[in-house]
Amino acid sequence: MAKKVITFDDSARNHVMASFGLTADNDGYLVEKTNRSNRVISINGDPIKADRLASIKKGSLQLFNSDLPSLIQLADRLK
Amino acid sequence: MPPWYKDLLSNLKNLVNVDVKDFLKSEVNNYHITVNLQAPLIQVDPKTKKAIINLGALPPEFPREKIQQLIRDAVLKEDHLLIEEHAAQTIDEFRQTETETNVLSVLKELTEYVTPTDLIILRASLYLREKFKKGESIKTLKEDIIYRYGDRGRKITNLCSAGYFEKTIIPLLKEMKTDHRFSKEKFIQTYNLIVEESGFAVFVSGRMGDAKVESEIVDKIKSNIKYGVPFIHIHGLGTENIKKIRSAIDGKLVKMTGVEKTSDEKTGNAIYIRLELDPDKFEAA
Repeated sequence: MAKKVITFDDSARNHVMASFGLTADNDGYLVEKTNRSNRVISINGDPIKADRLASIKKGSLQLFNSDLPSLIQLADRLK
Repeated sequence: MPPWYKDLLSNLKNLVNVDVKDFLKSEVNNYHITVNLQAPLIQVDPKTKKAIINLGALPPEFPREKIQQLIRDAVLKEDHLLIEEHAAQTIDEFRQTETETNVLSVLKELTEYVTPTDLIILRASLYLREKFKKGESIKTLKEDIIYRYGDRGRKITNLCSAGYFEKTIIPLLKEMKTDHRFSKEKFIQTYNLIVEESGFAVFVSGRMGDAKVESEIVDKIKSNIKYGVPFIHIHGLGTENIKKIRSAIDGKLVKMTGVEKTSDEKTGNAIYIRLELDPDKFEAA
């Protein structure tokens, strides 16, 4: 993994979400704390379940799901 | 030392009087955030040069908004990548897979012919296959591919795990290239046909019962005969699937006229069977 990386584990997930004003709705999807009716989307345009949030990257706040194809796309962006 | 981490140490010292002298001296290259009520606030591993920041040990008077702002600054102002640890591990393993000769050779042959989407599926499938070879679980990873790419994802993954890209598709490409009439479009058309029809093959998956396995093979035989494909390939991965396939072939198919088994290869926990089909003689049992 490249430098300038901060990893987190599941125990810190809520802190990570809170750092970006995010929380989970009743169905477990990420929403903005200030606008709970709008689910935030990944770079692929899908809503993300809080327990599948894999990564947050700069660039209008890019969110990546933890599915394998999304991680491949993230790996390519980190080259 | 990145500004966000320097700020964190500075705030810990100034706001809640934590002794940070040792951390300021430590060489740190990467960071991990956790919440653990039993562990110290910061631990630096001198070997990995990783600073483990334990938010569970933050003094209660330390403002939570401050830590959130520092994490936010690390990403938005200082361009750190914030990534869940298992996802980071998957990316490292995936990158390692893509340095392997057998993976590189497939990608080298096909990159210019497949769509960007198919290329992601193929790369994911090759990674899956390498993990399966090592005896690691691939169920969730395969579900990831199918979730995102649906039936096409499933088909390419199955073709890849059965070695079809090396045994059939790439040799087919090389063969087609020897013809002066070869065009990229012609190969892409054939490739799409193989993928979409998974033309010659039945893939036996874990969820298929015995009767379903038998009916799939029989239906594929009839379909292949109807469309002039004079053979069928049957693939199975795993001990139970191998039993189901053998049971189907020995149970019903051996009685069918015009169907002859010409290959039966078992490699580890994978089976491949080829049946030759003679449409003139074919008669279902």
